[in-house]
Amino acid sequence: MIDLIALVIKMVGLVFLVLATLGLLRFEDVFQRMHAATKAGTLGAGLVLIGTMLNKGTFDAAMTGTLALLFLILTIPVASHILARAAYMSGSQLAGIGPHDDALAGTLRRAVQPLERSIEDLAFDVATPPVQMPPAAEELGVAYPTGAARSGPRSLKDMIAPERVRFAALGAGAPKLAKRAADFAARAELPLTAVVALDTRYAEQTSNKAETLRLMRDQISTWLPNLNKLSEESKVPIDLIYKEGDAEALMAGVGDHKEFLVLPTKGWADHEVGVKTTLATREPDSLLRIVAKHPGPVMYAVDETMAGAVAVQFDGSFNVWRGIDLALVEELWDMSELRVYGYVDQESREEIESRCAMVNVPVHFITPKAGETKQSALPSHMMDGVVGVILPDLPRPLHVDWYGLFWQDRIAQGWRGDVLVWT
Amino acid sequence: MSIEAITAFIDPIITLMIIIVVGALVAASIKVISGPSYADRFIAVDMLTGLAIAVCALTALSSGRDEFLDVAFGFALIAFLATVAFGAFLERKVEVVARRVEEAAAKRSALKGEEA
Repeated sequence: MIDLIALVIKMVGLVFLVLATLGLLRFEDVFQRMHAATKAGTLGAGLVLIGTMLNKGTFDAAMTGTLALLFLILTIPVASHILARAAYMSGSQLAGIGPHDDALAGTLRRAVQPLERSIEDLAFDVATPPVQMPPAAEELGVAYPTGAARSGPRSLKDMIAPERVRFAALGAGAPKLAKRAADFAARAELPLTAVVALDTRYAEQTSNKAETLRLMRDQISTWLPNLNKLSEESKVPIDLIYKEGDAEALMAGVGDHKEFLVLPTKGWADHEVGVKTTLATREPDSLLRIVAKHPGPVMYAVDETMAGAVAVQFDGSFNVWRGIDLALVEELWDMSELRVYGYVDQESREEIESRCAMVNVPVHFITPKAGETKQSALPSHMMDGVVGVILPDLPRPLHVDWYGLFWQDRIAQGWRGDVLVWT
Repeated sequence: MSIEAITAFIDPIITLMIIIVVGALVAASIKVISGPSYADRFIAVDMLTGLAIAVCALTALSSGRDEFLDVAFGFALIAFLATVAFGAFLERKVEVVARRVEEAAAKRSALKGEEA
């Protein structure tokens, strides 16, 4: 009889252990995983120990088993407290908790961003952003400007709106991209600059530098006339800057936060001449690193202007707030609706609704389901008719091609469109 | 089915249980490797010791040797030390990275000053 009871206890323990492991693999953030692993894991191990002691029935076994059990129960709370504290301080993300719901805010010192991201930024020599809180409308003291009232003295436009537009004239898609940038510049009445950055660093990596440079210059000269024609058509004067050097440095680190940078989604720097380099990959990863180096907003634009919905990956950070503001004020897209994906607390929800109501854009909130964004930043079921995406940061790691996935596939599988990022 | 008939099956059942726990061990080890963050790995290591204790207890039954319970006790001791050490390491790592970020920022602003 006692054998049967012991067996049942062991089985219950086993179930707890398996569930704990499942939780460890499936839960979304560090603290949820810790919750599964420490509580259920300890209970499971303890029950298996008790079952074994019952089976054995000797004094020796009971003694060692009880000691192990006692020690487990005494130490697990302390150990997991220390680990949870360290994880919180290292800036691990809190899934499902909005920026206003963090009960520990101000109690413990907490890193601005996850430790792993800081390490990656250090490797790329990128400035870590200072601590920023989402701006409340009353704090800024702004009324939302619409139409003619846009140029008010303390309007949001003055605070965040760009004063200049710069775009990268690179690759064969450049004329189409120039049209996008010119359209936007004309609508917002901003001066437009085109930068033709000839990447000598890329040329140096090829076997014949002079030949590659000649190919790239030829490529540029084929579409340069189109750019001039566009300048005449759109009635926006285009300042053309031609420079040779490190393309990454030429595009970033020149403008300030008032400069709106328009970049292509692919085809960076090699101007699509397709000469092989000695590097294992000639994927233009520096294209994605510009976001972190340019202080102003950056838009990765596809060739066609489209009207449709705009999706936001909301994490409550300052970056995503000003991205939303910029999209609403400047009418970057012909926006039919705004879809906000993420855990949005009540305060932020009302704030977003009021901002959208002022420019007559309907807004929908989509709450994440467990585990649906493991592979991509946004779930594919909300991407129907989405032309633009506002992100707090680009999907990490910053590689254009990551094991065969184009970087936009990591935003949403199979999706192509405009991406607005402002870090 | 009488109790005796069921007790005859206990040994294979325990072997089966060990196999299941080892499967969980493999899954937790995958989490140790895949991470993605430091804290995730440490939690997975914590989970590994819990599973190892269960394996030890079950092995003590199936092999009939009490020494495996001593091994389980040892694991319980090590788990605590390891987790505390990991926690301390993580807190120190945060400080070191914060200092390096500050240094990088200082270097960057110094470079900007030179340009201007």
